[in-house]
Amino acid sequence: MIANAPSITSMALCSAPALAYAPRMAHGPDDSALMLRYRDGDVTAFEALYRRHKDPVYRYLLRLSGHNETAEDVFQDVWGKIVKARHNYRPTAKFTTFLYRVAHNCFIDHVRRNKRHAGNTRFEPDLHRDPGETLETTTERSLARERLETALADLPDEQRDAFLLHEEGGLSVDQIAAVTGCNRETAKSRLRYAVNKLRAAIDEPAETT
Amino acid sequence: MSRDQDTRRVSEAYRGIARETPPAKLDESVMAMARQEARTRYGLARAWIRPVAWAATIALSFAFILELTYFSGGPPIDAPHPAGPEADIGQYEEPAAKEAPYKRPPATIVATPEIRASEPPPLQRAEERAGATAAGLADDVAADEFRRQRAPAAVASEIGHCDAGDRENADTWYRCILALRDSGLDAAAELELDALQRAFPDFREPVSE
Repeated sequence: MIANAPSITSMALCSAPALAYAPRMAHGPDDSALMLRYRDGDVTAFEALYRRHKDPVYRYLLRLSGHNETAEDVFQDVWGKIVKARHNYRPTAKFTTFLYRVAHNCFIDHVRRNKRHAGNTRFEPDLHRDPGETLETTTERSLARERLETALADLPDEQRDAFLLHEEGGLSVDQIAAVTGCNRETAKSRLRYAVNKLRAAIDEPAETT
Repeated sequence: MSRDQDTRRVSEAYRGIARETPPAKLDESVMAMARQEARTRYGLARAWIRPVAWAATIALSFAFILELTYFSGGPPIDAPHPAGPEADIGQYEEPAAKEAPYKRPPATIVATPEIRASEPPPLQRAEERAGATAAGLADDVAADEFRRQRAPAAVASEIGHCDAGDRENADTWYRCILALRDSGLDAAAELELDALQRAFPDFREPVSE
């Protein structure tokens, strides 16, 4: 069955990619402007900001922690901190850098408080079927997800963090270094190792055929 | 395959499977938190902080200028109370002072007899002066009148010599000299006495009892 499964690459190209960050950069008010508006009491600005970033942040935390409950707890904590930080918010850096730094720190704090994140990934995969998607395609996607999820879960924490920051947050190497508190070369190295390992996992079924 | 292509492949594969979104209850929770924070007392007060701060600054500045304009150079609110039994206001006898002009009178009582006898308590005086503020220059006039009514001896003890008013006649001049002696300014008193005797050659200092 694995031998017949198409590679993740071809599957991903067939389905519409869920771009984590491209749409929000293309149009709409700037994140910092929205945050400043919310600082001045405009709740609709925060709503727009939240809708723009909630999914990537959630996925970042979900894959970083490997637990739905942990991701939800930390997710709420992150946005609570963003809400409370609005009084002192200054648009000195890109908002996403600020947001993911908060998320990263909240997760680290959570890990220090509860050690439960250590272990295997236990979050429930998204198995809903898209309209028009056949059962076979759904199964293929499920297998592809399983391989990639397993590879992601097997990554060292720092490499997984760097990869998720890059993919979900759209952060550059410099920004990843700023968020994780390491130097640029270290961040670059972590990201490269993560990509290499994931690519090997993606190519694995193709090589077995 | 180049590194960029590897990264792109992995990225596309990841985006193809990363579709999780936060539960609706989390969205509601975060938005409720954001709305509540925007409605907090600090959030509402924030819009008023700046104008209130400006108004307070202007009001304080105005009050300070008024204070400097109308109350500078005025008499002290609390004159020092005289020591000893003769300090009692009721014991002061003005006629006796007239009968024996060169007899040393009680120092501080002589200084402001009329004023102190009819003077209201310090707090009442302060209130009266505050009321006089509305009258503008009338307060200055009152202050000048107060200064004029003060006995020369008290003024002399404060400034360390007798002024032109004291030197108009030998009587007031000598009282001023006695006040200087009472204040411990013996050297100044001797200088004034020399000057008095030069100005009024017929003056003879009475022998103290």
